[in-house]
Amino acid sequence: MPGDFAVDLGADTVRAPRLVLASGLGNADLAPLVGLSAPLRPERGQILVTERARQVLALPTHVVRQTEEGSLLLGDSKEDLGFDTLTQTPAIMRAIARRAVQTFPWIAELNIVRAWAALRVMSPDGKPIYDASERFPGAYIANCHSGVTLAGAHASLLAPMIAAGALAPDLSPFSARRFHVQKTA
Amino acid sequence: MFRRRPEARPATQDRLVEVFVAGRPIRVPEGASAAAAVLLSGAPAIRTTPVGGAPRLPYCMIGICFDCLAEIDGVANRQSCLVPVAPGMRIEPQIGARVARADDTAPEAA
Amino acid sequence: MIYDLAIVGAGPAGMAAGIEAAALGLSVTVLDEQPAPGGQVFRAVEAASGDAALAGEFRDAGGALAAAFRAVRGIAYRPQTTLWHLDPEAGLLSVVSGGATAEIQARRILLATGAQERPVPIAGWTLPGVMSAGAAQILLKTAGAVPDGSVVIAGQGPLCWLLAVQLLRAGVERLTLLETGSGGAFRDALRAGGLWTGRKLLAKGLALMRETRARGLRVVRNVRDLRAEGDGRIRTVRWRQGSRDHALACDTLLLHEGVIPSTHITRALGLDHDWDARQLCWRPRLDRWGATSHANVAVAGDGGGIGGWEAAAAGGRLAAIDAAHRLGRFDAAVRETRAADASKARHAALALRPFLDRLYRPGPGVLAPADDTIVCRCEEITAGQVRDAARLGAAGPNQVKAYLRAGMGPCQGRMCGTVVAGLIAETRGTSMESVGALRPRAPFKPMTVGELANQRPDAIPELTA
Repeated sequence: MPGDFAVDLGADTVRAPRLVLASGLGNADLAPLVGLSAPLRPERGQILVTERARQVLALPTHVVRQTEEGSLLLGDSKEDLGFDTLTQTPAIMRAIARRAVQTFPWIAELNIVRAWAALRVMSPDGKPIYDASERFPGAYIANCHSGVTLAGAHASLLAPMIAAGALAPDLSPFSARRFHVQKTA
Repeated sequence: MFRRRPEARPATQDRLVEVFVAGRPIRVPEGASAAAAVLLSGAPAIRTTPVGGAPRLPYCMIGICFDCLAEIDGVANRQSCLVPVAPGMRIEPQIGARVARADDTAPEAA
Repeated sequence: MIYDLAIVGAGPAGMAAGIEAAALGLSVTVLDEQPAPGGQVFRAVEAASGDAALAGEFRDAGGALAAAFRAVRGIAYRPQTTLWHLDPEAGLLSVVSGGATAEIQARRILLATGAQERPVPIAGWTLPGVMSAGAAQILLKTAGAVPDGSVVIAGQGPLCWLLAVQLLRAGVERLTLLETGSGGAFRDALRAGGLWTGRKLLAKGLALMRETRARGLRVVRNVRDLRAEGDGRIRTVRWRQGSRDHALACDTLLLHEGVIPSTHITRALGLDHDWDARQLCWRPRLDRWGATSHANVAVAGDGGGIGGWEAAAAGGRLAAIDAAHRLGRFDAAVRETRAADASKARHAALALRPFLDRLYRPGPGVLAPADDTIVCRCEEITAGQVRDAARLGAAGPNQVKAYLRAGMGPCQGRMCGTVVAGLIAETRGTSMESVGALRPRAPFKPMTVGELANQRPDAIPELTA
């Protein structure tokens, strides 16, 4: 109901006047429940993680970064494999390793202790989706493929808008309506 | 600590190899691992942990505990229990997290 | 080339499987991370054959098996080669050796990667001078070395007795065995039966015990609450017996609470596993030939369930015979005939297992130690921290890994995975089956970025006998 949302968690039900759907790829199914659309697809990326090393890389690059604990994360790949995060591809892992070594030759000495794959939350044009529901005022959706990068914007710009009850007009390019327009064009 | 038993294996089979543990020479049977050399040398630790700086010596000797990580011939974090000794091998304790040897213009390691 | 069978592991199961497969005319390669065959139970058997302390089965049976393995033509044996990824569907093994990675193709894969000693998390177990019992045995086998000073074996299981004999023969003068294990275990074990069929093994065990008595081993029974204490290395071992506390000066503490299958690779492949409530470990689900839940993958040896080297060798033979059958060399009836001897041998070798499993069943503290005990040695996470995470809502070891980093170190969860799961099960009042296990991924063992980047276009050179 507008202004009165109930979320059923099985054992509990939570009620609130505002609802923000921020469940990543899950928004594709949840958004229509509040009259919105979130056309998202999973884009897989694989990451190699090295053993801890003393701090050597103060600034992150797009494909190599060092965590506070000292591990280096090496990426990235872009794969279209649906929701599979378990299959690993030696060829892609090798390509990631080669690129990292080309970038920083000293990385060759570090041991890879683990690797994993995860799914990016991709909109058709790669840009975020922010929408406020017209049929169910108080309901919003928020999607992007780099919530870490945009955390500052989400916390200090988006959250106050939601609290105030309306998204600012300069967020309108991020509405999912832009995809419908393309479809009918 | 550990000690060899020179009487145990026939001289023809038991060739000794000289390696250096923390700079000190020690002779160990051919085929023994670098971790065995460390235990025979009486060194108090083979590494200190990257998280808490705790001293460790080898635990499992079969390559699954990773407590035997040592710097061998200049290469950091090698599983010394899986590395057979070779003449002149230099085995140094692995102190905390390894150094990533970036070039000289990189920021100095903390 | 595409091999008929790729065997990972050159212990008793891998060696026996390789010999049998070659005899059946299959093209076979055997990969092993060590420089010489033997696995762990027969580690360095070729080099250590002169050592009187190791006389007996190790030298005789192990030596013979290694010699037979070396003598076979038609086995492409690749030592110092580590498997880091496996695509069972494509039959593609990604390996690393000599500073580079390469690929091997096979129609069928047999994992014979064996077992590991169960980690025994007690207070102070990370102190220098505390090791697994098997580690001391390996030092004896590979370097002819023995521990100095006051040596204590703490725990339970056949290996404790075998090691005690070997150390005493090798000249250790101050040796104490602190046996954990409850008083009722023996009565429970007798109910398991199998003592007549397994009489050979039983006699061996009793002979070992007699020899330790003759050589003056001090044995303390019903030991609980073991603690290792010292400044920078172990100096004292403490325990409780009944209502009394005890302490003993100790220079080397050797822990042992049995052996458990190495399921690292089978878990990474997502194969089906069952929790063995007797042996308190996970094992891959196998049929009598060692076939797993994936059509192209089989397991033989202790990696499928602890049974000892004779059962492992027999299991290796069965898996090789099954491989030949599945590859179309002969039909099921012929498979039965060819497998008759190995099946019988395996059955006999496993006869005493139920008795031993009950006799040496680890106490609850082994899977769920006290709060101040480190459980993740790599990241130095304590049991108390894991219990807190479980109370916060971490329902399985993969979640605890995300909360605490337990399992993110270089051992990839081999030392902590089952204990973390045991702590979660205890805290949340659930079963080991529902808690589940850590999900490892490739690389199955750490390798350098450079090794991964370097690929040899041709296969790694092999040693053929």
